[in-house]
Amino acid sequence: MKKLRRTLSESFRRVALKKEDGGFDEICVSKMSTRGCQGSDSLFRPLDSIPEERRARVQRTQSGFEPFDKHTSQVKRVHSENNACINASGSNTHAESPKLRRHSSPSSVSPTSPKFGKVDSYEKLEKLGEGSYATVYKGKSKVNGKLVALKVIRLQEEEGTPFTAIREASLLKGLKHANIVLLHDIIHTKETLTLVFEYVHTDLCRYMDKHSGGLHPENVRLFLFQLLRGLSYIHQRFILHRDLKPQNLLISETGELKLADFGLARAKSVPSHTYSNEVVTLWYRPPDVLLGSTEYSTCLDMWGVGCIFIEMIQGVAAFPGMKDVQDQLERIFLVLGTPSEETWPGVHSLPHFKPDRFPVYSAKKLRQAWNKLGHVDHAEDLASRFLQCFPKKRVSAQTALQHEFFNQLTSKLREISDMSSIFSVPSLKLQPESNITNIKTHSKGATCGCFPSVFSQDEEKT
Amino acid sequence: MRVNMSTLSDSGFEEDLHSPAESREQRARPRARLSAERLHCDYDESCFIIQTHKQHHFQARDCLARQPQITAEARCKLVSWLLAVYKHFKLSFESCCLAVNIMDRFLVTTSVAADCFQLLGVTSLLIATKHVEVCSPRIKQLLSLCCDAFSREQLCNLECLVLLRLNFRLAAPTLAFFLDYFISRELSRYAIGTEEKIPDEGNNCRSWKAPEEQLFSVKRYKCLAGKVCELSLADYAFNKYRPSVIVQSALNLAKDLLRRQLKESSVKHTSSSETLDFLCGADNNSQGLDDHTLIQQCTQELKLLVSLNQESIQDLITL
Repeated sequence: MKKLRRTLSESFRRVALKKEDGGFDEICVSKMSTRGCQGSDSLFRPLDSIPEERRARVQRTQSGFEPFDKHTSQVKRVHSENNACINASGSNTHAESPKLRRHSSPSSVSPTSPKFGKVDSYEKLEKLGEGSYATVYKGKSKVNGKLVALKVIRLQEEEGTPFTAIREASLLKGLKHANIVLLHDIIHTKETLTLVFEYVHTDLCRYMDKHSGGLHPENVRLFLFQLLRGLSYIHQRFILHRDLKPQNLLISETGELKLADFGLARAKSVPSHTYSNEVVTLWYRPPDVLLGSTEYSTCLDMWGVGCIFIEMIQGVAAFPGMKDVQDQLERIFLVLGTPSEETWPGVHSLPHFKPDRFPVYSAKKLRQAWNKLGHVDHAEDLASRFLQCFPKKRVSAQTALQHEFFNQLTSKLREISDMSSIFSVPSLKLQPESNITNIKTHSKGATCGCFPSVFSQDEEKT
Repeated sequence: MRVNMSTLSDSGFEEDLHSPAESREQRARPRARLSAERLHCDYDESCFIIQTHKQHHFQARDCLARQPQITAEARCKLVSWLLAVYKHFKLSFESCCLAVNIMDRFLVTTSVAADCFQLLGVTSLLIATKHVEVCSPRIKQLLSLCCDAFSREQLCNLECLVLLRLNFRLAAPTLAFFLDYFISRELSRYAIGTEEKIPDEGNNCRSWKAPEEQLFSVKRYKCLAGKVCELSLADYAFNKYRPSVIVQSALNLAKDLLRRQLKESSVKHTSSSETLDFLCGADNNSQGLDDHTLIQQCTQELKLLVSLNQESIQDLITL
């Protein structure tokens, strides 16, 4: 490989700088059009007169960038103060805390405001959370006084801008939808990259903590509809969220739900492509991913939707695995049945599947595991369409929006534009929740939605 | 079809989403047992339409027009080098296409000295891989491929500058996307046409086994079309075409080349030629939303490009 490296680079340099074509054959594509060639000699010539190649290159790099929009021949340097570039002195402490919660909310800092892009346009208020690569603060726009969420990303000196920041910023740039958190602004300073989001006052996790024991069925319907609406929008754009969990679903005071935290999302490309299989929080992770499949598609997110749907109705997480992947899978199979080649073609060839690893459970009705599903019309049927072990059988977000479960919602909802909130339809309103809990109750363990692990081990072994 | 971009808002293309999706539905109707897959196909269709319309926002036409030092020849050399680098790191073609797009769009905004053009190349590749790949190459590796002519700080600064200049807009539709889309669409049509299913890679659930020869010719067709797309990246003459146009032209050309080769060869490859015949049938129907004459023009230019690069492509044809 070293040899290749040298050949590649040296031949590049030789050809690019001295116009010698010898030795470059293997990697140079002969060009069809020759119109660019005449001028090249004169443009490369000055470089040849510089004796020390390397030094010349480095010097050039510092001074060679000239923005076209300046209309002057004045050299604009990479280090120019306007560029606010990363410096090598970026602080990088890696506080590993898995639960990064972002709380942003409706506000409208106009992106065209005069101070757009400047760090001093926002006043930093209290810290909202700390993640592995970013810290989130509540903030206030000095331009219009609206609240914002500031996600401050530390820039690593080793590898430049973190890939999570690049993905989150570039994906959110292209997403404009009422159910996706709005990215107002991006601020680059020497040590940090700050993403400025709308401020939303809570998230689904906190909302469910506050109203434990299951949410009002009407509210579940409204939240689920909005979640599917947002997902259908991103899935149509070849983007998977990959990290769906209640903490990442922001809830505004009026009941608007917004998808947030796109750090692990990415544009879906070639279907044969593999993604890292360490992305989804275990509780919301689909069995195919748990079994080591890396063939992700939009079905990946749909499993998480099913888990969140059940959690909203039942008041407890659908599959709250306590230990590891094995435990998580057993919890799933205990309800849905242990998959076989008949129910899930190809399951035996998944990397982590060993037939003797799992007791053979038979599939049950979902309401046996989560009784409250039986109390809401069509809820059980819809949940069963999300919770399919075989990924290809999982319903898509687009199709799920047409399910009978949503029949009660007015048809006007299906006509609103992407940017309109569902609450722009007059009759829709968030219902007051019946139970408000201040202290976390022990109801979590007591409800039948949670299988105690002792119970799960000897039940229905064949 | 010329898309009326002015009527499309930034946020959605819903008014255009329906008609092609419906025709897709009709084609797929006989295969009721594939219903779940059909749902995904419909996503593919709407993705395709959105990506096709998005191209216009990400095209860097005439990116060298205002560059004082960077010539088409230099761009060709750099991209040829990047092609070797992406293979060296075993990156996806998507990363490579995206890197070239990032580089071109940066060139539209900023003039670059000839001696830091290579730095721009690796920086674009780094940004593209951060956006696309599970693991991107280490900065150190990239620097050593440039014979350590540049420093880490320079690369990081340029990365920052590129992101700012492009305003973090990186999700460009690429040749890789359209290549994948058109090929899988052709193959699924073919599968419907023969009432058989073509297994796509990594998909063990389907029972249908293609005759080896047939699979082989499909694989060769994919490789060849991919190679033609690769070559087109390096030639500035193709900068004026949208990726969807280049891909459709490359597919037409690949079929053409393989057909010609089959006729010349003495051995009878019946099933291969049948596969090709079918795939060729598809190019009569308009495949995408692009202008037909533009595709023909591009196909002609690609033909010339391929004939100039015979050696690199020959083994793919005669394999």
